[in-house]
Amino acid sequence: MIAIAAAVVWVTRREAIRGTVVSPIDSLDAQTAFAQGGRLGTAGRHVASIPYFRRATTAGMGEQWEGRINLAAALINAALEVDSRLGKADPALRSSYERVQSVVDGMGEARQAMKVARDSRARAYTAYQDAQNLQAWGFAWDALAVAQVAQSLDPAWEPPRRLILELQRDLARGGVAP
Amino acid sequence: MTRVHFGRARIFALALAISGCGNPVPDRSETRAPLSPDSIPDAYARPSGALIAAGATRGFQVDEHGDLYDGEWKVVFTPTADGQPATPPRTIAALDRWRPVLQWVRHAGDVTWEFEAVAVPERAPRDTVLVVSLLVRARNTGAAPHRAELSVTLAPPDPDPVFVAWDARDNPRVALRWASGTARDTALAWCGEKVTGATFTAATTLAPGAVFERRLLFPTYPTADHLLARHARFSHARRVSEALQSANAALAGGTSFALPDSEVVSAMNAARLLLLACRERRGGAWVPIGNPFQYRDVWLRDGARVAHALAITGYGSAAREMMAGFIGFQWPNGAFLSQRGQLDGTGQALWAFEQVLLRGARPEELDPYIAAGQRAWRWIEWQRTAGRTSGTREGESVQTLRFGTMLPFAEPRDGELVRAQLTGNDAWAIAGERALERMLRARGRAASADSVARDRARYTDDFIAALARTGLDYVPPSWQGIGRDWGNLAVGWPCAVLPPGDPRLAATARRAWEQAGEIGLTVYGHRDSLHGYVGNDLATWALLTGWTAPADSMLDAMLHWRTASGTAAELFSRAGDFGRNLPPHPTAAAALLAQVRNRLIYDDIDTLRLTLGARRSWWQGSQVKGAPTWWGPIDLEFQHGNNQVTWRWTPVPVWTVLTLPPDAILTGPPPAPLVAQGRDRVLAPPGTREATVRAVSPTN
Repeated sequence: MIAIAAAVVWVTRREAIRGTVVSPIDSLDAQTAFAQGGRLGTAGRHVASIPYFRRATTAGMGEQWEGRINLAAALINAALEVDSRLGKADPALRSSYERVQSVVDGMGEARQAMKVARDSRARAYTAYQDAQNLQAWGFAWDALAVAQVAQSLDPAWEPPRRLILELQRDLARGGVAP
Repeated sequence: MTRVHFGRARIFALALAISGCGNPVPDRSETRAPLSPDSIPDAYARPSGALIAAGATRGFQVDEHGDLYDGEWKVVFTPTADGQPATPPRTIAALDRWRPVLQWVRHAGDVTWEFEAVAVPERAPRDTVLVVSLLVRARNTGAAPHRAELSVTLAPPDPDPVFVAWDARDNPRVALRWASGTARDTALAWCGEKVTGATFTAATTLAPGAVFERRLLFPTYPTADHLLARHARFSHARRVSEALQSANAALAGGTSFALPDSEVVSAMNAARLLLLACRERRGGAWVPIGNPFQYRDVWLRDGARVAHALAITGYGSAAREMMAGFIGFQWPNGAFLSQRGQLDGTGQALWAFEQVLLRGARPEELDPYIAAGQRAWRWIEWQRTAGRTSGTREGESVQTLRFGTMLPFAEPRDGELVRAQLTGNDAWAIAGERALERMLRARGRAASADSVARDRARYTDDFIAALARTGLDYVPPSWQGIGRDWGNLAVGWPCAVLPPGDPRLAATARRAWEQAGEIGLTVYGHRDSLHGYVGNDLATWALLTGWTAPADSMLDAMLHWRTASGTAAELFSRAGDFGRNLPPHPTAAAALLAQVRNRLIYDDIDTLRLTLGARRSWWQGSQVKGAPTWWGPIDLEFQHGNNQVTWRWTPVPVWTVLTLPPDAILTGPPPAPLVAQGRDRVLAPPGTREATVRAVSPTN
């Protein structure tokens, strides 16, 4: 009976320890996590930056446009990231299943960013990023529609206009280079 | 005498002359009989093998040197005799060219080194790992004693590896360690004794006729010593026996194809086991992988073919689990896309839903897929509206886009290998709308189905009009006329955008076969690059037109271009060099399965077609059991002899078209209510379960 009780205590403690194991990232404050995510993202390590940006949103930046839009960008860029493993360049994420999930998550974060954007430029930037993402994955008409939204949100901002012209030109030519 | 039975008439067993169709487990008693893998043919320039299992996230490739590689480390074997290294293996063969036990032989003078390996999957949830059980046996076939020595070294990958596992560790690299019985550590190999360093060595002097053997274990991931020791408690012979029984059970779970054609049956067995093995789990769903090695990723264009092939050969449950995985590829806009620029994914996903779910799913299982399909349909039609209503300004006037009613341009980085508006994307989208329509009708949602049908009809008209605008008499790879043949080859089948008799399909096929220099197998990009499966769509289209020669040629090619383990590569030179595109390729396996099944039972229309392309030898007497169709599972038996052709099959509520054997023609009108359709086909009304007609082969 004592042996059984000891075993129960041991198992219970082991489960309790497992339950309390946390990532060091989860102890970071929002600004520290955000800064580290930014460093990794700037270095092209988008997959690695995701937990930091995610931490930033849960630790206080969830209602800030910068927090949401950077997490969105990290998730979207992660799907295009190439990593070198044992000397071979391969997608950083395991398969297209994970890549699509990451982009879809990123687009969801972008929608959250749009809700908390404080000005028209931030809203236009959010839509513009979405349009670029759609363009990169091959959704030309979708990209054009969203780029037009971006332009309407901030007509004075040049990038959406340029993207619209590029997409219109490519769509008219069926994608074929002149 | 011509007989026909209807309704509840008894089905009498045909006298079948079947050979090579059973799957008995070979006797695995410890006879130590010499292995003879080199008697099994391999069409490729260098041998290779795959030790893989469903759910496992890595597998071992057996390369042309007889070494193992799992994407993170190699296991290098150096067998010698009297210091002389053994030759590389000539073949790496599966038992009977399909069973999941690989064998290869290396020679060093009088000493023959035999290798036998089998993948042992762990039970879920540890099924991401598999352990290879390998038996090495040295046999002195000479008249004098010889010193036999075996070194097995754990080594890092080659400097330029063909593939690397997605979860391989770069820093720190994995420790190249052999298990020792008591250590609390993880290891990459087990040999039953303590090994210092990365190399295990065993040596002995073999008297004439003597045999020496060692059993080794190799997990695909670093595995605890004690777990490997636990694995070692089960003998290699037992592991082999379990693998053979497991394979037989897997085949027994699908449609039974008892054909008097051992090559075809063997190829189908290998193909089905491959498709079942090339699956990975994602939560509760499964996804089909493009290849266990260098294409360990998911493509909807390949996955749809794999799911279809599994569904029509009796693996509805596995195929349905894949459809749950496909849902993960739907984007917020409604499109399905797995890889950048591959817009054919939307149509392929919907087509796969239909092909899989309408063959045996419970009606209510359709609903989430119909909902997903409706979002996809709206995306397709929105694309077409955007294109139709857009234009380019030229001076004061606005010109509509030349191919604005077709899907926009894309760059798939595969297939057509061009940035343009691809005809295949539209063909698949039309097929996807047809699939959605059928699923809606299956659920009694006629109004919604009619809406989709109207859009599909308009889309088809627009497709035909766009074809006319190209000025070409064939279906080009892109509306702009550029690119490699790919999705355009699917326009006739399976997309069925144009009827089989449309001359543009014949011209498309003729063009593809001219590029290949032969009818059947097609080439990709270069005349010397044979493609293992993409031409099968043309072959199946030809079958539907009643032209069997292309399908015969394609099937012959698919049977020829097999490894010694019965699987195929995707791309290879005419000399059989597959380069870095390692076999096995699941889509090639799916093509073979689809063609054979469609030759026997074709149900992708409102009519059941039987023996559409049954080969001459199959008419000695063949039997198919448990084939899923739109109308439920059916059995089929057919035979030709003494100028009499007989079919027996499970009755269906639609008309059945029975195709006579090659070159056979009716000697007169079939008995009512059978109806002749030309001289080589017979129509049977709904409910028919048996038909016998008199026919002769004029060439005989």
